[in-house]
Amino acid sequence: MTPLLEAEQLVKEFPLTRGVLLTRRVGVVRAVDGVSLALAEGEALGLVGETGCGKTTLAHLLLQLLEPTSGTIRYRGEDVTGARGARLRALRRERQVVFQDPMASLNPRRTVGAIVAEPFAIHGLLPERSRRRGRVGELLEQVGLDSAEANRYPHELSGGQRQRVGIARAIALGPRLLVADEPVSALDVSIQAQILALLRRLQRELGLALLLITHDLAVVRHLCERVAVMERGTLVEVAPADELFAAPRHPYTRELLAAVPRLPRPQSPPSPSSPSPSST
Amino acid sequence: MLAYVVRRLLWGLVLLLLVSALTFVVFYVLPSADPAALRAGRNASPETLAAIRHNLELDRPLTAQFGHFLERLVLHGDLGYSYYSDAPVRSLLADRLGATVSLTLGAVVIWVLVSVPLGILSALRPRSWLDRITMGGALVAVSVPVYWLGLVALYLFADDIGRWPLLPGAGSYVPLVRDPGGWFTSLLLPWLVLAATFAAIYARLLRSQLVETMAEDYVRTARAKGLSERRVVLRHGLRAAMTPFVTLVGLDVGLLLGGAVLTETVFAIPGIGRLNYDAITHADFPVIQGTVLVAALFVILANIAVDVAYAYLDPRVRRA
Amino acid sequence: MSAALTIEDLRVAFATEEGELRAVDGVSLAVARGRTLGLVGESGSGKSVTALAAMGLLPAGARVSGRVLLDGEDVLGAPAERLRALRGAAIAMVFQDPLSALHPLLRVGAQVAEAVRAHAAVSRAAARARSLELLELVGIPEPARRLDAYPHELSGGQRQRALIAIALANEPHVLIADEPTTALDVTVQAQILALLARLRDELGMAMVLISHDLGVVAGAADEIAVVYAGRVVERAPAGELLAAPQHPYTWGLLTSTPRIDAPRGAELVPIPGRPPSLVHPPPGCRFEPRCAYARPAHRRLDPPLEPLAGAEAHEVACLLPEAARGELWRRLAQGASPAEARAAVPLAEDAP
Repeated sequence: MTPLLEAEQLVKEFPLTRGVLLTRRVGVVRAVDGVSLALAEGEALGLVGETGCGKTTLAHLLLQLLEPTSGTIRYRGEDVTGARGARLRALRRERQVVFQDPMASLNPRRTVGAIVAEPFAIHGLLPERSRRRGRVGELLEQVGLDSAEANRYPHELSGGQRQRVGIARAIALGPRLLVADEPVSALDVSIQAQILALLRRLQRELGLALLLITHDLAVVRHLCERVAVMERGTLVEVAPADELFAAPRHPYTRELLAAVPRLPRPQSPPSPSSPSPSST
Repeated sequence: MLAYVVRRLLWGLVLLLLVSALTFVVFYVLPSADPAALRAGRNASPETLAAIRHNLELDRPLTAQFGHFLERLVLHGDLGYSYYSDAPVRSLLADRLGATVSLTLGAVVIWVLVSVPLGILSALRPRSWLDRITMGGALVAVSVPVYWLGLVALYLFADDIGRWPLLPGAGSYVPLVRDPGGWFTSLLLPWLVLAATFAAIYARLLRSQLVETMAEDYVRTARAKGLSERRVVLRHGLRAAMTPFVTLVGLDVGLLLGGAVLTETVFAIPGIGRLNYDAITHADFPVIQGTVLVAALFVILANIAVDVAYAYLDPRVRRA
Repeated sequence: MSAALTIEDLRVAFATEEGELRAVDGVSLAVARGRTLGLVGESGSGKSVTALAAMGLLPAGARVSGRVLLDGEDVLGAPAERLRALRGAAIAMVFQDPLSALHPLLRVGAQVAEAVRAHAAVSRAAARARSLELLELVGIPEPARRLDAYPHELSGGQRQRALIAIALANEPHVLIADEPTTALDVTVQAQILALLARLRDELGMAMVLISHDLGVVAGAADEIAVVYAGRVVERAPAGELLAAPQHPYTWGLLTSTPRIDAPRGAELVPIPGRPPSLVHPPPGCRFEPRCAYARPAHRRLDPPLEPLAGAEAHEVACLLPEAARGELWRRLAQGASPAEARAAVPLAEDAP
């Protein structure tokens, strides 16, 4: 079965320039250095790595927000690497993104309803106001918000609610692929759980493929079937989640796993008759 | 950094070339009095007019005139002759430069000395009566036209026409080297008037910048170290707030060195701005060209200086 | 062992447009030297405000009551000059975002030296030497070079180490670390936590580690206090709190945190709803609106923080009977959902 999204030997170089007026290249930075990846329909893939490893650049390449220096991208079997104009716009409907900072990614001057309705406006869908409003209400409910929130502004909502709005906007056009770039890092723990549960539910309900980019391995553990570990522009290990967490092969993966702070496993409390340890 | 400055200077020359070409074109495209006619006076005969026109090279094509101008400028440093006063433009400019520089620098000193403390105090006590008075006064000072303020100042304090004669009035400027005392007193009113508007703007600017920087995390860290509040404000808050302040002062100084036309006119100070104004009314093109070039030169130099200063003040922008 | 830092019934309120916001509403804590207290709570729970109150860094206009004892001295009522002398000397704080907490326009060495000279009359040269010592102490590579570097030239981990160096400049008795690892990568997090533990032991400090991440606190703290809606809802030695938590909010935190050692299908149980308004807090138990096990009476009754029957050191503010709580947790720990646990444990409708 053809993968939904396939990347082959993607490379993205950023030039290092010197000089202000008569600039010249003195070298390059390879943010992404020969990455090949495949994502199946409905699959949840976690892309983990630390700051500066290139995972966000890779995501932007896969979403075609950036053009690769070399390499190919195939969407549903078709080579879309150089896609432009109308073709690219059509592709955008199928691949959407949710960002990390819900405050920064929502236009503070527009209402929630306007924000969620914007994708329709951009692609010229659902021109009738009433139908659009109705659809926006449905989307808000789908992400766990009350449809009445459509009249509020982003700053009136909590972080978790804003992130839900961002998700509603992303699924508005019924994409096949959702890229989530650190979707819960900026949120409190209990809200994180709500958003993760939401993402999981939506993935199942809508058959979305999910590319989850994060540095939080526990989140990946919870949502993803496969995991790709990125270090300095290359993928050092790609494996099914169970395998990777149980028996990591690459030393960097092992390093990452070892560094994650662990909660002790919840266990049954000691029987009431034994004396509890007093604080030492 | 040095290479950066040199490159900027070279581009500055290119810019000056463009500016002078543009001035040339503007002068010829916009309807203005015919300088030949102005020189010739009334009832001049057509032959006289033609002769004068030929004399001033006005009958040659634009490009040729411009080429000749550049040639004279680059090879001989010659900016031409004024149509109106028949003096070399260069010497006219040289005579006037002192007055403009005196006016500008004095005003800058006053406005900085006034706006910094006011800005700091207002920022530290927002919405206090001091803050409200300062900002309210600033609003008035910004709204009032500088020539109006100048005329009112003369009307109140000038020793010839003022109600409370305290200071020399319009036209009393003497160069520093000739009479320092006279120079100083003659410039006091113009300095205060010119500084008023700028002090207002800069006090407001510093206030808003300082309010912002005092709310930053690094100020909290400074307090957590146990530093005195004074040190926190000056070394941490003010240091960060001053960067835009300094750069804008630099730019304004560049602009003013090109001539504060209104102030110079009201106080009859023989500066470059006044020279420019007179030249325009007399369609004295070579002088206009000269003053515009000088003004452009100062602005370019100020911009370069400001960029260098900014890189010095904020290390984050240093990667050229 | 007497406590280096004791907080007694701290209350901090701010005036807002909607009314008085009680950010901290009766918090009592104590930390002894050589020990780490973990303060866990979400944003708005009051944990950071508590720390700022201990440092005397609350904004003007905050209404404060209660006592904060630093080595036995009450700092809440102290004059500003006394507070200034204590800040950075007897008690120090490390803040969350190292990039914004360091002054962008001053060199790192100068910022560290400034902390030294704030409390001791030393020469510039001596302060500089001390800065170098401190940068070495916190494990910054090539410390001599870093002295003259600017914050933006350092990595996130190095910046945080520099902040720690600033905090340690005068060998404080109490160190408060407010989310010191939140902005950092996971491998760096581990290094910073290890560094803090080592420094605590070497310098014999009392440490308060604030975090919203139970995992971070679990590994590093001797005692954990869980903060919710401006109050401590549970406090116990770390191992006991994690093995046998007694408050439904703590259960919620534990079951809603994704775990790296859990299978993929494991359900995260989010805590429904949001924290209550601190301007108009609920009259009864503050967690009641979100609690899956609450009785109707809990809307009216406000539970005090009390020790458990069998364990003096473990305190909880909950109206449910201790035995019922134990049962509920037993089931939750085995993977039951709140609804399932609730159904399995008998709780009288009318009684608390």
